[in-house]
Order: sequence, then C-alpha cells, then structure tokens
Amino acid sequence: MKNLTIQSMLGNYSLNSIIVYHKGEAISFKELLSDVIYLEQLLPEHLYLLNLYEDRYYFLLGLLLGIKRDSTHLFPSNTTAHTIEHLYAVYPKTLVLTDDALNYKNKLHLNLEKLLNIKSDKEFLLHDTDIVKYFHNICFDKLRVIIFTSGSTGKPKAFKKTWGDFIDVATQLGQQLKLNKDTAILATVPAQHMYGLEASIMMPLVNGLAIHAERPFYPADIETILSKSLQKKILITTPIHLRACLKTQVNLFNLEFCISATAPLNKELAQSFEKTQQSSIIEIYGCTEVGVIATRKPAHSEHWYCLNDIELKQNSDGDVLLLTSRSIQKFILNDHVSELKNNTFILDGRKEDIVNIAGKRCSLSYLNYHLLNIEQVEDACFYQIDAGQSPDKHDIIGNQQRLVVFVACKKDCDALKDLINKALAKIIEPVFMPRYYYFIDSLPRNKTGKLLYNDMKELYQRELKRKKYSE
Amino acid sequence: MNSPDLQNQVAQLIIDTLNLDIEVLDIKPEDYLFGEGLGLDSIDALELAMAITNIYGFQLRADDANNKNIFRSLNSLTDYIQINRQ
Repeated sequence: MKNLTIQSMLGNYSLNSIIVYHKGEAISFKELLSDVIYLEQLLPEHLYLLNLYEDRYYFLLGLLLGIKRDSTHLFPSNTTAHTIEHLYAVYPKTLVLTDDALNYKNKLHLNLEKLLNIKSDKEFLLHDTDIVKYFHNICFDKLRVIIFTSGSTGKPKAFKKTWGDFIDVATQLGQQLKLNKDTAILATVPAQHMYGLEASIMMPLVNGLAIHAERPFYPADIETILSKSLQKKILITTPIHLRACLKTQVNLFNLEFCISATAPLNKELAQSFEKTQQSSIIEIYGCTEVGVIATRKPAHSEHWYCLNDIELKQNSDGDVLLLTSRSIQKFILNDHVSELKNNTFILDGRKEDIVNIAGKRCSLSYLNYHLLNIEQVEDACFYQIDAGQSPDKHDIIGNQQRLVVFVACKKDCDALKDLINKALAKIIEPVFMPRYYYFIDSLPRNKTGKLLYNDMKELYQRELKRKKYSE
Repeated sequence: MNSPDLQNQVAQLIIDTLNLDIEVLDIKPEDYLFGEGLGLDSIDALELAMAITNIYGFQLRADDANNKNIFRSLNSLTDYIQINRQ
C-alpha cells in the first residue's frame, strides 16, 4: 500500500491552472472540477466504465468521474461490435460514455457533452479546499483499470492495474524527461490505449501540464495547432505520424520535443526529423504488463535508460528479470536485451519472433531492424512461412521453413533486390537470407504501425497466388 | 462536375498508394471509400494525404468542416483535389 491521494495525481495544479485547451478555450482546473461535480450527480449506477471519448476533455471528465465512483475502467483494444458484445458478456454492468447514442442505444450510455450544454455557469463554484474533500476517500491501490490486448490467439487478454501504477509511471517519466510545467501535451494517439493513457493523459496530469483536447490527424492539422500559440508543446505520436510530417514537409513550430512509441523508430527517420523540425525525439519502451520501462533518444543512441522504479537483472540463461515497486512487482521481459549495465541496455528484439532454421536462431525483429536500416528501403519485413501454408518451391526448401521478405517498391525492384542482398549478406547468417522477394506497394501495417501475423499470412497467400498466375 | 481524366488519375493514385488489387473501373465514383465501401482506414487516409500532397501540392486538413465528406467517395475526393490543386 502506498497511500496515494488525489494530491499524488493532481497536486501539481492550482485551482486556476490551465488544465485543458478545448475548442479554443482554456479550461482551468477549477472549471474542470466543477464539471465533474455537476456530472457526478447525473451518473447512473454502474460497476464498469467504457470511456469512448476521443476528445480529451470529455475523456478526462469520464476518468475523474470513474475514479470518484470507484468504477473499474475498461480499455478494449478496439470497439468493433464483436469486441463490445464480448465485453458486455463478461462485464454486464458497464456504463458507456459516448456521443454515439445510435451504436449504444441498447446499452447504458451517457453523453457528457450534451449534459454539460445544459449546465448553468453558476452551478458548483468551488472553494479552495473542496478538491481534497471531494476525493477524500479514493484508494489508488485497487485494481480499477483493465487493459485488453488483442491477444495472439484471437481472444482478448485482460491486464489489471491500479491508478497508482499509472501515477508511478507518470511521476518517473516526469523526472526522467525533466518535464517543464509550462508546456502542453498534444497527441495524435487515442487516450484509450496503454501508450496514450500513460503519455497523453496521466503524464501531464501528474506533472501539472496542460492537455490539448484535440487529436490532430493530418500533418497540416498538427502544424496548425502548434502554430496557434507560443506555448511549447510535447507531441505524443508514432513513427507513422513522424514519417508523414517529414514527407509532407510541414513546419512544426514551438515543439519542446516529441515522444514516439508503438513501433521501433528508425534511426535515419529520427535524425532527419530532428534536423528538419529542430526538435528532439524521445522514444518510449514498455509493455502492457508493466507500463513504460525505459526511454532513449533514437537519433543519438541505441541505448535505453530505465525509469528509476525499474531494475533489470539478466539471468544466466539470458532471460531478463524486471523488478519494480509497481503492483506487478516482478516480470520476465518478452524481449532480448544486451549490454545490460547500470539499468541501461540495448533491445535486440522480441522473444516470440525467434526463427529457428537448421538449428540456428535469430529474431525476426533483429532481421527486420537490419532490413529497414538499409537506406534505400522504405518499408519491408521478413516473413517466415508456416509449414501448413501452401508450400512453394522458392519458399520451402527440403523441410525447412525459409524466410521471404516483403518489400515496398514501385520501380527498379531488381536493383533494390541486389542492393538488399549485398547489404544483408554482410550482417546476417546465410540461412536467414531471404529466399524470395515479394515486391508490393505497401505493407499492411495497422493503425499503430504494427504488422499483425494474420495480416501478413493473408498478404503471403495473396502474393503466392499472384506469383503462380504470373509464372 | 470534375473532369473524367482527373477522376481516373485519382482512382489510380488510390490503387497505387494503397496497393489495392483492383482496377480503376472497379472504383465507382459514388461508392464509399471507407467502411462498407473499399474498406479503407485512417492510416490509408494518411498515406493518401502524403501522396496527394506530393503530387498535387497542397495539404489536407481535418479541421476543414467538410473533412468527412472529402474521403467519402472518389467523386468527392476528386472534387476536393480539383479545387485545391496548385
């Protein structure tokens, strides 16, 4: 028990601090709390809360309402009808916070924006001590957050956390990144996923930073919001958006720095971005089980630096044991780590993507890392054929599952192939060299930039058919 | 009314940028590009935005009140490009 209080979460704001920029207005901490107190009396009974607001102001209201009512927050990996039905089967007493009344008409739902539109400005003026009194009985040590991942087997996997865990991560990030209270957060990622929740909601809240409620999408939208005020901003984003900003040559003004996560950031991209936008990039490494583990500056160093509440120890068999004061306490990392010294390390790739060919082992992440590091390669990935997938003479030789690569390329593909072969031959062992090149226009990356196994399997089947027809 | 040439060009741009396994004539001018139509998603929109900026020389913006309509169909996207191209 850490005995965290509301002051641990919101103690860096004074009542008049700006906490959110919303639809052109600066909203003070006092105004936000007044809205929370007004909405709470209208909140129906429930056990679980599904907060679907993309607008970070309404999301924040929902989050504080849930904390006040001691609800358990559910964060599914997506909101397809299938996922929502699955969620309701397990958590029937769920209240949905949404402006999408149509899709949730058969569920208990509430539209916060509509309720606020009929609130009188004079309601619930706060006195200085009210916040502590209002949240006085909140316990941050209960497992009140459930994050779901898509799971490799098709069924969602639930990870339970305390708000205290998020407060710990946010506090550590604040120290490691030396956050300046005068900055504001702008994020292109949703608040409902682990990274968005940690970096775009809890990190600013715990450290007293302001939050932009909008979620800009196009590079020009990011540019517009950044140029509207001189206040320095931290952009919470992904490699996909960083690349889009670079390619469309927008000018990102007033950036304190950028934070990137969800997929590894290529060193060259990080360097070009830093050079053209005059802003550094911090990359975050973490996992759903633990939260943020370490950060690094990808343009300058391969080395990751652990947050202060994380300790890593390498066992003799190579496994890395993580120790932390967060509620999970111990965890064996899913990744390969090298050069571990004084809680700094190099990531060598995921364990589950280990390929084993003729007794030799290598990680696909490692191979992909080197493939993507070739300057002329825009996007590409290795793929290992399942033994069960229609064997093709190029891809499966003998009984061995060989590797193929998918490369995004529109012209001069043969020249690129030669170039890749020459570059890879210098770095990787011959058994891991690609046996076939599939040239495609783009890879099926999902919204967070990841290549999902099923999408790659589908892509392989499609390309295999195409290849057969053309032979 | 947009020009048929530009419309074909935009259809080809969609196919090339997103690696779709279809022909220009498969994209009906009024079919939805997202969801139940071609089934594009927001990352596709970002890819298309990059390609449009590079070829037609202007930036797409979501703060435009008509943003949802821009990517509604091939027709609406072509109209938007016709008005904004440089």
